[in-house]
Order: sequence, then structure tokens, then C-alpha cells
Amino acid sequence: MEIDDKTIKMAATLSGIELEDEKTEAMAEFFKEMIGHFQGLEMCDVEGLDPFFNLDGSSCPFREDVQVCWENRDRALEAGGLIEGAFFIVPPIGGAEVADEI
Amino acid sequence: MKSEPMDAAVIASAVAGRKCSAVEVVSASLERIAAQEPRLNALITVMADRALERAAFIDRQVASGGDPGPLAGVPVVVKDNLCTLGVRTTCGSRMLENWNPPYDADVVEMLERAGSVIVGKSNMDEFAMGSTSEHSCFGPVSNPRDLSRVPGGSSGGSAASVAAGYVPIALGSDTGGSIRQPAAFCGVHGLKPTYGAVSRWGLVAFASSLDQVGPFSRSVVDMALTMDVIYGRDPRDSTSNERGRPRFAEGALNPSVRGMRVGIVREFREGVLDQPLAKAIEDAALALGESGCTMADVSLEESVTFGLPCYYIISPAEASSNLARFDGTRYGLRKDGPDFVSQLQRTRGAGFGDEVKRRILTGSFVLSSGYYDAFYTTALKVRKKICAEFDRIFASVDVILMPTVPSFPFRKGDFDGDPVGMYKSDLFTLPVNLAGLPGMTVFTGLERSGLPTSVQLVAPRWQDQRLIECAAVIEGKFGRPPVAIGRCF
Repeated sequence: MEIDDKTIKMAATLSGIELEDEKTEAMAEFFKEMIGHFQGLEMCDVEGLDPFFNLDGSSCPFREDVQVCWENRDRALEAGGLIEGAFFIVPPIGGAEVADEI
Repeated sequence: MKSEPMDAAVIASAVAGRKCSAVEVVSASLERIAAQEPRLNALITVMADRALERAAFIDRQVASGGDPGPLAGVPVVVKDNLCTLGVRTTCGSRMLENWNPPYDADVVEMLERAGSVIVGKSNMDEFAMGSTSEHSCFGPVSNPRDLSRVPGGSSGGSAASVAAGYVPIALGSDTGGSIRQPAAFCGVHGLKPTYGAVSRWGLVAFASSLDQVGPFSRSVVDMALTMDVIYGRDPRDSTSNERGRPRFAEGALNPSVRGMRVGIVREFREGVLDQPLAKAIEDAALALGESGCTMADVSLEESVTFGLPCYYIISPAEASSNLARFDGTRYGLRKDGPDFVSQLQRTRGAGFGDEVKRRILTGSFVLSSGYYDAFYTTALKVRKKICAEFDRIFASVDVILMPTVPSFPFRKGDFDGDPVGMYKSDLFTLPVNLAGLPGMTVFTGLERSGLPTSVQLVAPRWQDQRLIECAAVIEGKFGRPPVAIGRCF
């Protein structure tokens, strides 16, 4: 499996992280070493096994969708970056070039 | 105040019985913190004012005849990834450097309801990713037993706080060994409960199917008292559950281990451990044998062979999802950009350290199209095999005795530039998380160098009490962890 700068840039884009160019090479070396270890899993016989399970065999619990009054909403808003009233402020999502990048 | 260490049990009894005040106990703890912190850097935030107010409240409660709780006046430290209302919770990261949570974690509520007093938030590897507590934006933590060495991680600050005598009890979190390994490195006891036994509500998530909150202590009785407080189902955490109501304190005071079958792991015996750590296993087995346990050889071949790659696919995958919420909008650091994607990328580029970035990128990669089945789906199937391996072993033994760590604590900087080398040291701890089992590091002594030895006990799911009982027997033989560095309160 080839790991190069393009792989790292793809992973960084998916991760939403701006990665400096000078760190790309070190990250590629790290990926190569990790993927070498990951490929060791090919030696494990997993034929017929279901990958999706809960540790104690239970299924996902449901709860009633009931609105509850929470007194600390203002604190939660204050902890954010920029707020206006009861809303967090974000910049515009972006145009076509951003969509391409994602 | 006494100069020798005081256990939580002794403090609680003394405060409730008015032999000393909670304010005196907490003041002594804060004095010790002030004296030792310049050397250890174990705490990110010291909550002096709030702790003294709380201690005064406990004293008023006692004076008016009220019940202050089973941990009355006991000073405790909690890891800085546990939310504390109005007190910053940073996860050791620039991303949350000044973030004040709007609520308390469930375990914080439980501890305070039991009368304990939180005196500080402990330093840690950023977002719980690391095994040395060197990856914090607040600087590295030092090991109280040898200041040139690491305390382990990621809950190194909590382990160091207990070892140094700041507090008798601390809370950490364990995703792949982050309680058990620093407990071994700092020479204290540390317990990771069964997955789901302690609420994760208010624990900043790293890997949600692996994370668990658990205690550090210098005595098995204190460990048991803490477990009695924090164990139990919380409806706010849908993965939390409860099987029976263990009586941990009773198990610690009157351990019943006669007839227990103890499995000794074959793969972790010959040649892979530092010799004193291998001897600790033999000596612990002898102690359990003298108390009526029988020994049997067991094999963890699949866990040993496949556990590391399995864990380092699943945990980064979950981390990449959990940490996606840090986008500069609702929490912490924000670096502006002309559009949302730029804000996101700049914020996360500036807010996360290198180790966190490595793990998020790895997680995004193994979940991406074309690689998802080869890596992530395969790892989930291998995880199921590891669980089945433990289930087979526990059909013939009641508890497993194995090492926590292969070596003594690393020197600072040993793994600079070699993150994968650091990952390999988690070999003995992370299979326990993959299988959701309870595991405990039990102190077994100090070498002449002052460095600690320990063993790890692992039990079937929901048999956490067996760990406490076996640990009580081992502690009875080897003694309790002494406080490192000078006098205690």
C-alpha cells in the first residue's frame, strides 16, 4: 500500500486539520509504520464473524424524547466562541471550491 | 495534623467524629500541593478557594448533626477530562485551555455527594492520548518516585497526586491502560472497572466503547470505598449498567479468595519482562496460593498477537469521530477564517498537539472509503475474537494474574520521535479494554532504586469485587504503597 504526501493530505482534509507541509513527511513515515502493524491482522481468521456487537449483548437502549428544561444553557453558550442571543455564530460554509476540497 | 499518611477511611471517620475538621485536612492537602507542585506539575488547576468553602460546608454539616457521607472531608483530585461545573476542564489541550463546563460529571457529583472535597484537576496526556503524561500543553508531569522519569499516562497527574500524598484518592480514565499503567509507574493501586460499571457522563470522550473512569489509591480499603461511591447505573449514560450491587468495602476488609482459580499468563512470563516485575508475579501468585487459591497456566495468544493493531485501529477511529465536535463553534479555541471549513482547519491545526493529530488522521484514514473494510471492519471482528479468548479462559479460572507493564517507568524523552515504540508498551493493558473487563494494578513493592513493582489482576465482566478481594490479600503480604517525597498530611 502506497503512503505518500497525497495520502496524508487526504487524511488531513477528512480530519478537518490544517497540517503544516513540514510535518507531512513525518506523518507519512508514521502512517507507513502503523499500517505495517495493521496489516498483521490479515493473519487472524475472522471468517464468519459479525463485526457489529455490544460487549454485554444488549441492543441500543431507547429513551423517551422528552424536552427537559436545563438551567445552564447560558453557561453553555458563554463557553462557545462567538454568540448572538441564543445562537452560536459561524462563518459562511463556503462556495464550490470548498465543496471540492471536502 | 499527623505527619504520616492518612487514608480516606481514617479521614472520613475523623471528620465525621469531629476529631479533626475538614478544613484542617484540606488545608494540609493544599500545603503539600504548594510545596511539591513545582517539581511534579501533577495538577493543571488547584481549586483552593472552592475546596476550602466546601470543606467548611462539610464541617457545618457535621456540627449540625447531619450525615456528611462516607468520604466526609476527604480531599480528592480528578483528571482534567472530567467536567467540573464552573472550573476549567482542559483535557491537557490548547483546544480547551479556558473552557468552563456547564455541568458536573456524574462521578464528580457522586464524590461530592459522598462528602469528598475536590482540590484539583490533574494533568494528563492531551485528550487522554498517550502513555507518559508528556503530551500536555501544560507541560509534562514528573514521577514522584524518580523525578527524571515519567509517571505514565494518560492519567499521570492523578497517579502522581496519590503517590506524592497530595490526596488519598484520585480519579482517572482508562481507554487502553491509562489508569493501570500510571498506577504501576507511580507505585499506587489503580482500577479500571467493567465497561459500563461507572458512568461516562461528563467524561470528555476519547474512544467511547473503551473509556472508563476509575480510582487510584494507596490502600485497597480506600479503593473499595471509592468504588462503592462511583459504581452504578446512570440513566444519562446509555452504556452504563449495573449487575448486582457489589459491596466493595466488605470485600476489602474480609476478602474471600479461598478456592479461587488464578490464571497465570504464559506469554507474559518468559523473557518479556524486567526481572523484578516477573518476580512480582511469582510472589503475588505465592501470596494468593497461601490464601487458598489454586494456580493454572492460561494463554492469551490472540490478545498478544493481535491486540495492539486492533486497538490502534478502533481507538483512533472512535477518537476521530468524538473529536470532530471541536470546530471552534461551541467549545474553546477558535481561529477565524473566511468560511467555516477554514475556521475548522485552522482551529484544529492550532488547538491539537501532534499526538492527537496523529491519532485523528489515523482514525479518519481507517474509516475512509476503500480502507474501511480492510482495517476497521476487520478490527471489529478481531475484537470479537479477543473477547471470546477471555471468555474461554474465564470458563476455567476466576481471575487472571499478569503484568501491567513490561518495564520500569521510562525516562523522560525516551519516546520522543518514536510514538509507535510508546504504543507497544500498552501490550498488557489494552486487551482488557477491548474485552470490557475490569482490571486492577496492585502495588507489590519498591526496588532499592525506589522504583515500584506491581501486578495486574483481571476478572470477568461484573466481577470487579474479585479484584478488590485478591488485591486485599496481595496488599496484606506486600504492604501498602508508601508516599513518595517527604512527609504527608
